[in-house]
Amino acid sequence: MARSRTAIPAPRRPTLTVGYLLLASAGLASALWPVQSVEHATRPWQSLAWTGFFMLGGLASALGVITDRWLGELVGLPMLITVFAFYSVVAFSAGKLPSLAGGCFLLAVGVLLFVRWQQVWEVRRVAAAASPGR
Amino acid sequence: VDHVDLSTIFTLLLGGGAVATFTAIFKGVSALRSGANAHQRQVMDTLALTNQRVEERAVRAEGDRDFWHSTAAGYHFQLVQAGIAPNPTQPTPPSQRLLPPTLAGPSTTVDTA
Repeated sequence: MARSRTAIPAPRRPTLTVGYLLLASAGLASALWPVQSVEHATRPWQSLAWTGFFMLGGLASALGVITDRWLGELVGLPMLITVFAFYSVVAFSAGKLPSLAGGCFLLAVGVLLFVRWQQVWEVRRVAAAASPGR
Repeated sequence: VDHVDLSTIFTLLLGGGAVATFTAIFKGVSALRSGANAHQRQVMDTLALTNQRVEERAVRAEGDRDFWHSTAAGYHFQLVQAGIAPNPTQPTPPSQRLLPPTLAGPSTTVDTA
């Protein structure tokens, strides 16, 4: 089968892998050394769920990219988007002007991850449309 | 915003994230069970191949169209050479038929005279 020009080019996959692994590492770090701002603004179970989403989302997405399976990012990215949306609300809720920049930055990362998720959703849609069971 | 409101917002965010994740799992697994290709690269390759086939089909259709165009022109020439006036004398392509008379080309009506 001919190689597609639209497929993710080879150099980008390692980059995505590194990015997702770094996010999973950030989740692990936040589990080992809890983030003060999150701990102060949320209840313990919320902080725990946030950390879990962070690690699982990063890990699922990284595994998906490493194994070239779209399911990994499809499942992992909603968790990561939630993590960044959650973190941005924490930053905004600090009520200080300096934290406004951090809140906007975190929300922007979440939005960019959502764009990536839309691409993966499209891959799923195309794969489902071309499936023999349809 | 007091602490209670913020806590509700956080709960809603986490709940929404959990629902989105489970929906993604359900949709993804359903697609895979129906036989969808699990590998992203292969999906993209299939898409590229489909596009390539559509392009090839379009090129073939254009070739056929040009062939029949020149064939018709040849018949027209033969008729004129044999002293027969082709009917209609000035055929109008379909794209011109829906235009108002001022913009349209020659008449589409068949010359019965």
